[in-house]
Amino acid sequence: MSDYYARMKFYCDEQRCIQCDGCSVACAEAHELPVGISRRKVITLNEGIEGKEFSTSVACMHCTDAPCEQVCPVDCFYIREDGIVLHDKDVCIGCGYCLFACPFGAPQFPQDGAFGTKGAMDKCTMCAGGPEETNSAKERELYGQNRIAEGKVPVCAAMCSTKALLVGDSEDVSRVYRERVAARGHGVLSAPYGWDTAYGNK
Amino acid sequence: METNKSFFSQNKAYILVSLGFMALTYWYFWLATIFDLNYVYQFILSIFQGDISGQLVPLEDMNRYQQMEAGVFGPRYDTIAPEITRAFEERQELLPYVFAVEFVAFTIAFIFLGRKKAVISKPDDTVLVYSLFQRVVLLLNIVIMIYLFITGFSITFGNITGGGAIAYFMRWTHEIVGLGWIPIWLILTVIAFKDHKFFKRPSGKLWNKIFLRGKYKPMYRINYYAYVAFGFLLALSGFLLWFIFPTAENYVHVIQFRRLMLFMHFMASAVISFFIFETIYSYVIAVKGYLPGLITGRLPREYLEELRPDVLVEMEKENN
Amino acid sequence: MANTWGYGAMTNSLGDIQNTKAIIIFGANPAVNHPVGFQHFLKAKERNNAKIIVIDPRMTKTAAKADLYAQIRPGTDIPFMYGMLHIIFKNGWHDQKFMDARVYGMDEIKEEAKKWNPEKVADVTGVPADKLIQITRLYAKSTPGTLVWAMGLTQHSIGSSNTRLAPILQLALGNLGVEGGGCNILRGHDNVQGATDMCCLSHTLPGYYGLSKGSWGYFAKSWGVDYEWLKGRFKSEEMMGEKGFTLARWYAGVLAGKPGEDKIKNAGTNLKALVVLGNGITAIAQQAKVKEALDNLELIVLADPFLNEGAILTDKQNDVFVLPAATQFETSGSVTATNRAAQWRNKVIDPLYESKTDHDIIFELAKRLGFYDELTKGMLLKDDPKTAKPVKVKDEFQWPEDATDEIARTIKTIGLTGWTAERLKKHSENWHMFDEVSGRGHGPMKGEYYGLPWPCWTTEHSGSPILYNINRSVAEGGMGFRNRFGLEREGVNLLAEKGSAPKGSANKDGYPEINAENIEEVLGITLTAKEKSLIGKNWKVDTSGIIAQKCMEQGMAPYGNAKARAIVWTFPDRIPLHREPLHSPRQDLTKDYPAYEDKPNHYRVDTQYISKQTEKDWSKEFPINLVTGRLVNMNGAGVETRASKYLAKLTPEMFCDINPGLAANHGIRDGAMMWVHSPEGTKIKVKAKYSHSVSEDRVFLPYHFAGYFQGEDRTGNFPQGTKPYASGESANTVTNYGYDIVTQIPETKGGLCRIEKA
Repeated sequence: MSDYYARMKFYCDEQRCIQCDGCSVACAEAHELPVGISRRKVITLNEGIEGKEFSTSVACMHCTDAPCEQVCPVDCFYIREDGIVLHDKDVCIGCGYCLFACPFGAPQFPQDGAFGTKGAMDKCTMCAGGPEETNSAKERELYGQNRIAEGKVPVCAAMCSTKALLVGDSEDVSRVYRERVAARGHGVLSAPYGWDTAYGNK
Repeated sequence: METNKSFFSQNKAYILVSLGFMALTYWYFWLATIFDLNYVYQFILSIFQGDISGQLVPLEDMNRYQQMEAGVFGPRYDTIAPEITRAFEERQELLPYVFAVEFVAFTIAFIFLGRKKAVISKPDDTVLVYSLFQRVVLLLNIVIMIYLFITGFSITFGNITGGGAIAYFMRWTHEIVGLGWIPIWLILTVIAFKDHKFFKRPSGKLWNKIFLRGKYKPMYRINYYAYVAFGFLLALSGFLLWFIFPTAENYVHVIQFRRLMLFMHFMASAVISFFIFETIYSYVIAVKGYLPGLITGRLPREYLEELRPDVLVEMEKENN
Repeated sequence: MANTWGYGAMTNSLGDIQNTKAIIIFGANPAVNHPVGFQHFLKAKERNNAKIIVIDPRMTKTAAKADLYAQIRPGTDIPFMYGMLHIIFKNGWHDQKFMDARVYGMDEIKEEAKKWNPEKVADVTGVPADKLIQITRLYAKSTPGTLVWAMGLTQHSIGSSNTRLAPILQLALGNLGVEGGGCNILRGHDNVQGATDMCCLSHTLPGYYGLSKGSWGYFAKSWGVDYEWLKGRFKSEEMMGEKGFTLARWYAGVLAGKPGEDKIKNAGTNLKALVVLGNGITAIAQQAKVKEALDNLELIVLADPFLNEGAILTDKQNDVFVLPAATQFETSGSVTATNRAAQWRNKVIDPLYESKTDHDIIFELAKRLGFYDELTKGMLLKDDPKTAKPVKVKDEFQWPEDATDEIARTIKTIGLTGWTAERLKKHSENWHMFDEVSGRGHGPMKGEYYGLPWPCWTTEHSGSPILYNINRSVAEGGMGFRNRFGLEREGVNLLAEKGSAPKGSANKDGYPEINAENIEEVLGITLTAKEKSLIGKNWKVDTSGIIAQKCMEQGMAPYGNAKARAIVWTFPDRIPLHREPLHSPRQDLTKDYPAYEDKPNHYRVDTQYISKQTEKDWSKEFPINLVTGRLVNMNGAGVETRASKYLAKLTPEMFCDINPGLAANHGIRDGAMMWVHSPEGTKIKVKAKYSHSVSEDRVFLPYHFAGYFQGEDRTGNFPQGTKPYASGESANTVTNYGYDIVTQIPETKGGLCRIEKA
């Protein structure tokens, strides 16, 4: 099934997400991010309105056809064979075009330049580090942990308290989600949310 | 003004430029662009009503998944972002052609019209046209705009620079120098290029200056208006892009607005570039001897008599 | 709970919730307070199509996942539950067979329930009648159903009545002792169950042994110390049997004698010193009094990994000592989870810098006070099987294994006999060999339940994952209700009726708790002369282990097989009755449902009830209900969580959830500062946060903040480098007076306040 192609994907099951922020805090803690950076964030809509409140966790979706990679003027993005979208902070000029192109608001910018200008872009790496030597000090400094190289699950999904956040090969993620939907017997989605948005099938 | 001239020949420059603009607008908005015109129109209306979120349909009226898309990822990604992606990609390919066309156009103009030259017999008989302050502003404007163009291009044509520390430096100085350009633009707008005594004058004549009442060459006026209008768009969009810092918290509320601002920035910079070239051409190439005057502030009286009698007349009016 | 059926603990487990068909949650917010445990709720919903029903004064994150939600007025859970019982009895949805066989005194409940028709309930609780009917029908029809509660039900002046009526509701529906049923009380923090079992309480000895002379004698023997020596540590033998102060009211022990303060009965003296070992005293009610008490103490010792903000709160300059305590990662030992199961926790690193572990701090203190040998002697002892008496077997103890073994050796009441350090370690090391839902082990761990949920009667016992389950044999964790309240009452048999004994029991009927006299008769066995000489007086003090052993052989529980009781004749209310909170927004109801009579010497403090309630019409001046609660990113007083920058980032400031409608009436904008005034005369300044989760008659305050006091910034008091990333007003500065009639838990979930724009 997934012997030939692996495409690493995130999916957040909003029927299970309870806005505990475990993922975002675990992410920030694991990668020692500056406080202004939210590689992953949890969003609640209709808070306090009966029957309408729901939450979901969002970060870089590691698109197959990543718009950020398309617009980057300096081509600092690269997509690994397993589908993880990464970028090179040494090349990045912090222009912010990726943010305009991203449908999910994944790119984050530290406000550390002169007069409050943007620094080099930072985003979810699916805990796969960056182009530097794997597990080197520089990689740790710039991109945080490289858990994928150690055979570990990305820290957000590992820490998810209700296992709402799924990560892995898209086949596996969809299998798990399909099982949940089948067990629940309702709430079937025609396509993952954001799909239409990102790929313009409206 | 001769009365037997037709309306067309009187206003030839305005009409031609307007037609050109209309053709450009038509080509761009009705043929080329892929953004959702109707949405952008409604969005701009809602901005004037004070809502910059771009969420035109109330969240409550949407179903759960639409809410999720809008509430988490921002409103209607498909309306502006694809155009930005496309415009961005095409700029890298198109802009060289545009500049080539502009270059060719000015070259042709130079070939056919040649270089105007004043016959100067008394080089020492000069008139002070620009005060020091005006010279500083005018020259700073040229230098800053050139720098902004270079750094702006270093972002757009990042594929050539390949990124790295120098391109990064140019990118953030683009933001800061751009901030510095805003007051210069403002001063230039009210000084209106030729009026050198703005700061001494009562404010009653401010409108005259801004709207350039009086006698001017049509191209001069067009150039000025374009500079004011597109400069305003550039300064505003650039400032807002810098001012509204993108954070995870404000993302949903400002991303669409920022996209619109970036789009405005792209458009305005593309249009203003033509007029900047025109200005530089007219300063440096079209007329000989103007550039030294711009630097020293003084021009030979004969130069003015031959090429810019209106300036001389006005100055004399003031002296009396 | 303990007074209803024997043990006051969660009957089932979090994993077992996956077996349920309906979950009704009263005053608990597991999505926020137990995010990891909440996955079982969600899985029940997902896999079992279980319905989640939430009864809460505010629309919580749990309610967001619920099928039905009722916004109840704080402090009116009893009318709501009676309303449910009314509908259940009227429609015959109750389990008559279960009630007849295993419950005592249900008739009085039936009578009381008749008074609470849905319209009346709607008037008192604020929940529409049709919603009540809808909830009751859904819950009663979906069996097994589990009832979940936490502090929202207990922290009331009638909290002990609340926690009695909730089990009664479950008993009426026969939802007890079954998989997917039970009363699941969620413990708020790590190891709260263990702390309670080990007696961080002032009215019992460890393992819920009473304060009687017999209990003291048993512990003196188990600890290997002389009873007379123990007695000598007390002022008098009488004080040995007296309950102590509670955490909620220790300040009264300091302030007594000042005008307007409650009187105390503390052997003629006030409290003079306070030692705090890891307790956020800035998160208990009546903060202004706590501050005053701290100021008046002669000595304060605060031992915490992070700076205890009690030190910031007090104006006291001298004799305030702050000790660096080690964290849980710097020590090891067993901790008890909410479902009565233990886990072994291993040390990750040695204590950092000058910090010391809690037990080291206590040992050092005992050394200075001169009873270190007596304190640690119990760890050197072992029960000699020949004499059934503890004898010294070693000279050096090994911490914490020997302490755990001492607990296993001593505590019989809740069946900790099986909790030897060796077994607990084995469970934690092999935790992958246990089932997530049932806790059942496989492979080498076959026949045991994860963490050996107590009662774990013998060192071979499997542990009891579901209390009072008669569908399993006692050896597999089955049991009836505990025989604790006598054999009969007013002519009614209190033992279980015929045929309701655990599976495989030699005695098929109800039977009393086992002691040396009745063991042969009840178990139907004969003991040898040697056994007779070794056996202890009753199952609770039987150090020989013979009673437990024989009971296991006969498939019977040592504590008997009795009925649960709906009537508790020792309590102020025989059956749970509604009484309005001391500060009620419905003054018209306080006449019909008045508070209790004032209670003298209530945990040494004279406590006001009716006199406080009738002091004046509180609701005129303070019309808004005040609800406090937790945030997902904070813990307790928040000392350690606010010191984490990523957690503090989520809620960087103290805030007040306020309905936009209410805020508009007071001219308060979203994000503006506002004052909250309390009937106690205190006030706090907090940031308004618009939220639809609260209705227009109430506001919500999280209680994790400290560092500010009544508008005054006290964060300057932090020693250099100890200031947390977030500071703010403590919600408990404005919580109202009010304490439970039995347990003296503070009434923080139902008070009044007044708000105004700052």
